[in-house]
Amino acid sequence: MALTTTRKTAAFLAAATTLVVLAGCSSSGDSSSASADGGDKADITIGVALPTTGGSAVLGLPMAQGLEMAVKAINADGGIDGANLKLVQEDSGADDTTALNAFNRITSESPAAVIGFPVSTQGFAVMTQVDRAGIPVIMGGTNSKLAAGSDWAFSMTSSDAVTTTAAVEFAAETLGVKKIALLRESGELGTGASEVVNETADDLGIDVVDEEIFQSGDVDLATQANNLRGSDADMLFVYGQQADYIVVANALATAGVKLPTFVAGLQGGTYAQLNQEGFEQIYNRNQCVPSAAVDNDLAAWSADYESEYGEAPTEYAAIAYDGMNLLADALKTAGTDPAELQKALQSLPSTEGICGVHEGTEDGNLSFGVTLGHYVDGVYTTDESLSVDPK
Amino acid sequence: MNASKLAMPQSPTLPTAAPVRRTRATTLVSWLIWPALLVLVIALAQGIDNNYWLQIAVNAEIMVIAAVGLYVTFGLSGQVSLGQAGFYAIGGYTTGLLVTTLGFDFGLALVLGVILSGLVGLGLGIPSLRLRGNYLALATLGFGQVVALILVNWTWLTGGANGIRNIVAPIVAGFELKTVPDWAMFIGVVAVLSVFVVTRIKNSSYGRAMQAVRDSDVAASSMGVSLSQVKVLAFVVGAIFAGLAGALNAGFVTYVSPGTYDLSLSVTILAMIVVGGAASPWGAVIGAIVLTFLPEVLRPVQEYYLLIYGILLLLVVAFAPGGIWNLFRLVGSLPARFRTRARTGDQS
Repeated sequence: MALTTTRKTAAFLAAATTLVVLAGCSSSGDSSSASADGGDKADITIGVALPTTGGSAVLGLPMAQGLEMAVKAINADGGIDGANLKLVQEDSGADDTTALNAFNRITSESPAAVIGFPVSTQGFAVMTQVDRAGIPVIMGGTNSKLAAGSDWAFSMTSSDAVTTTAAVEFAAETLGVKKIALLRESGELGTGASEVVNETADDLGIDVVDEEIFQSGDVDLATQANNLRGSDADMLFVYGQQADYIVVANALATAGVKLPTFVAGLQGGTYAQLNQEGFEQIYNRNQCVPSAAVDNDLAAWSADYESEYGEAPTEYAAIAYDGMNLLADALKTAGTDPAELQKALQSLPSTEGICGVHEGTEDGNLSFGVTLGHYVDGVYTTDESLSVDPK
Repeated sequence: MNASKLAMPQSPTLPTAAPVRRTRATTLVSWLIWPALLVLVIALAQGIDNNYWLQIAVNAEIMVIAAVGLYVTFGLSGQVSLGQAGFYAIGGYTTGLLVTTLGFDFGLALVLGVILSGLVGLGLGIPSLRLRGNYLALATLGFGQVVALILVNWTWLTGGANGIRNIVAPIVAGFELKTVPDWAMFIGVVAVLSVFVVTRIKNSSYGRAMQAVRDSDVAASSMGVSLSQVKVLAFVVGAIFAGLAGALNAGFVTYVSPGTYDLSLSVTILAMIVVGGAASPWGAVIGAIVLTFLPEVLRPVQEYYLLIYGILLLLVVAFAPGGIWNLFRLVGSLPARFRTRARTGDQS
């Protein structure tokens, strides 16, 4: 009996030792490949914190590829005054603690700046550490209060305030809508959108006649859909995750709701799975739509991306690509001194990226482009591409 | 052969004076360990110059507090709780709200957060008295879900999904917690005190009553142990320590949001007890440290680390069902076993 226990113990220790050695080997492999990038000058390290595991990996993985493409192009073009950019990436996972640990691990590598954090709550969670680290951090979350969280925080994504305001204005002024309803998830995305929709509707003098809330992942939205049917809305705004939209479409179709509907951030793959009976017309608002780009820089970049990775780029891949180029522009102007780099980011001149218009601002917002459009027979058609004045 | 010679082989134990000396030595060590641990956590706080690993150490200290609390509920009294994240959230949100909206000092807010967690634990513990095993686990699971939904939906109070930011500038008893080493030292001291308190509870009459209830509540009741008092007390202690951990986490991170307090946190805290060992508070300490550091140690293997993490947990449960603490004890007892076997072999 004792022998069996000892044998089991030995097996456990052997397994644990093997895994620890495996982890160590992998770590040493990473550092050697990183040093192979070498140039005449020392590499400039850029930290990357993206969710590559968990529910938000759908954002993080394309962003990682967008950043990789940008760095490859920048280094091929001579880097930053001869110094190559080197990415050090960590998984920010699915919760705040993992994001915080990822940020701390990255800053222990002494990066010139950090880029990533497409989930706003993770951005908020690291904000105190951003202050403590004292280096610029360019985030991808859409919450309009994100960049204001720290003097060192910047946002490379057009905020909810920008995109949602544009969508409500489009509904009111172009489509002539007077009464709108809102169906939103209860999380950070839906809550932020609700604030903006209500404020903008108030400013424009249109009514929000109903607001229904669901929890992301819910599979029965019959109550919300029936309430919407009873409302007197001319148009519906829906905010949720991609998987939620499929449930929403089925619930609307079952309840007999058929309205022109803004489906926020709807991706092409999701659109194909929607029950079209739930909508009179599907509208969308994004920072940019790579799949709909024709004869422009975004279209050319999308083709390069597809040949590189064998898949179509997402909006967030393009946002990350632009974000890295903005950071490179600031590095070329200011070098790696954190305070100088911070000022350079705040003072970036207005430029047209592949994913909208960018400009440095003191409050840290760097992107102001919005694309509004609708689907006709499964094909996305752009209605308006506009840039909101950052001032 | 005379009688005295016959008695010798029947008593392979050491002469009677040795156990007395060993007991005194053990007692001395058991008291010296506390100042030693305090010195250790302060030395670690000042000695670890890598900011990343120091912050992981702070996370581990916070989890130690939550885990030793659950040890009282689960390890000592045998009540399964999957609602610790709820108490952790109550401690964190109460502290955050009092600091940011009412301008309370962090120390006072922390104490009130802990008290509220304890009261909620009391409120949950009393109606749960009739439940045990899977049913109690389900009830606590439901409690955790209710708290999670409140955090998201009571936007007027909790800030909704965006949470509460800027829980800043905590000063505790004139000691300003500004840098990470400050926090590491403060939370480390609180963690050591928490383990000390839990070991005192374990060795107290209440602790023995809890163990009696865990092993057989019918037998304990027939011996005059008040089941309701003991079970509720164990539940409240677990809630208090979870609330304390949550409050400290809120102050350290300066931000609370619903995403932190989901079911996975409750499961992780429970896993710390199971992996570390439910037979001793030191098992909870080991489990908390191992399960906090392990995901970070495995970060270099990127997308495989969750898989490896899971496999390691399975290995521990399969090969060391008593937890790592029991494994240590087994390994530590091997020399004595070998000596005993050798002596028995010589005598036979």
